[in-house]
Parts: sequence; C-alpha cells; structure tokens
Amino acid sequence: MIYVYGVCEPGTAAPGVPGIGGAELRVADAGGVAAVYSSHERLRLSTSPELVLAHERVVEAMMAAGPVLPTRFGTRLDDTDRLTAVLAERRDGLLRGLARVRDRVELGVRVLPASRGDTEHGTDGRSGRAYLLARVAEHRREGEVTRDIHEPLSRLAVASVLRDPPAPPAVMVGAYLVATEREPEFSAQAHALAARHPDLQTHVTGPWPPYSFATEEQHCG
Amino acid sequence: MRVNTDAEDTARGLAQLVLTLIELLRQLMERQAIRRVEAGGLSDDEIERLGRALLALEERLGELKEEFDLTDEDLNLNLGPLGNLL
Repeated sequence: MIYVYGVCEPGTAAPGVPGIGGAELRVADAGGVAAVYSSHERLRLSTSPELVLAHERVVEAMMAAGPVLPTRFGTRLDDTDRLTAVLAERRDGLLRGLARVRDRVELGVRVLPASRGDTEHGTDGRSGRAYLLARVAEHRREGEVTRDIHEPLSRLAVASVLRDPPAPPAVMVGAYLVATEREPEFSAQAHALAARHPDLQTHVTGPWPPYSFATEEQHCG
Repeated sequence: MRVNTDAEDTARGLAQLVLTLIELLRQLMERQAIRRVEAGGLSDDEIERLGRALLALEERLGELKEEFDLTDEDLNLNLGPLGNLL
C-alpha cells in the first residue's frame, strides 16, 4: 500500500523529510505530473497530531520546491501502478491545478466574537423562541461580517472559499488563494478590516499549502 | 493517555460518522428555520415549537458527543474533493 502526499511537477526530487511513520519518500512520475508517496506494509491511520503533522511537513517541503496540490490526509492507493494510472487519467486537470496554485499561497481568515458571552448555546431552561431568535440574530451578523470582511478580501485573492455556515463559535471562516508577494498586503488589509469591528477577533493563518484549492470543484474565483 | 481497544475505536469511529451526519442535518434544519423566521409569517407559537425542536436536537447531540468523547472538531469530517463536511 502507498500513502500519497500531493501532486507536483515532473522531475521533482523527493523532499528531504521523513514521511508518515518515518517512511522514505519517493516520487512517481507519470509523464506530465508527478506525486510524492511512501510505501507501507500495513498502515493504521488515525488523525493523531503526529501523523497529521508528518503529512503536513511533507506537503510543506514539497511547497518549498514548487507548486503542489496537497492530497487529503489519509489518501492511500494499492500501489504505484494505480498511482501512475490515476495521474495519467487526471493529467489535464492536475496541470491546470498546478498552474492555478503556482506562486500562490493559501491564507485562512477566521472571525470570532471578542467574548464568548451570549453566544454560548446554553440549553437549560431556554425557550425555543429565545433560542431561535438568537440564532436568527447570529445569522444576520454573519451576513454583515461576510459583506464587510470577506468581500474586500476576496478581491485581493485569486480565489476564495467561504465556509457556509461557519462552524460555531466562528462568525466567518474563509480560505483565500493569494499571490505570494501579496501576502503582507492581504494580511494588513484583513487586520485593518478587523479593526473596524472591535466586537470581533480576527485571526489570519497561513501561509498554508493550497488544501482548499487543490481540486477544481473547490475553486471559485 | 487513554488506550482504546479495537472495539472501542470502531464504535467511536462509527459514532463520529453518524454524529457528523446528524450535525449536518441539524445545521440544514436550523438554516431552514432561520429562513422561515426571516421571511416572516410564523406565529410566536410556531417559532417556539421550531426553536424547541432545534434545542432538543442540539442537547441530545451534545450528550452523544460527550458519551463518545467527541469534540466539534472531531465531527468535521473531511470528504476529499467535497471538502470538510461541516
């Protein structure tokens, strides 16, 4: 069985970091695109921090060398024959993907209320009406924040994805594909927009490998 | 550090899947309820009943999450090209 970390340009050297479980990294070339993988006799995967971090370290090492389309954590195939077949099948889409992420990074923006306060979903003794009306108010606020923060930021990005609805307690969660050299400008703009909403805390994270923009279904310009 | 048996792991994995789907349904129901309230035309009584149904579901979900030692993050299943479920 092989574990696949991501797709990259052909002729890429295997990254100089260990893979999952300390396994050696290898590159499979399918005449046009390539992928980094490691071989395993058997592999018991769980979303433990060690394993997820090992995966992330490989993807980041790939990113340092060129454009990468990261796979989801846990992507496994039977063998390298299957891998090269998949790469060949999806070559055109993968090439478009690599072009889409070249010299770009993913930045995450997460907006939370400044204080937990009344956003706690206390369920004891609350009336259904109070609960639902509170949810309606939160929804309205999410809409405002999206308009005030997401829209200007999405204009600075090549592509963006908004988590809709955001997982509580977040009021807004967005991922942005940004040209690497525009990262400082994007970050500064995100914080400037956040400063206009003192009742909110805004976190800008990244640069990440482009997990949210790796497939064509995810891409929305 | 908890050491799980295989059976516990399987049960927890299954619970994780089921509860994620229930949470997704709850969110869809909640959005629909919000839309109906915002569109207007619901009596106070209807709002109360809708709200109580959602509250009850959230409460029960909370209990199940506690029982299986699952956090909100655990329920954010990643479906590959579909992205995160929640």
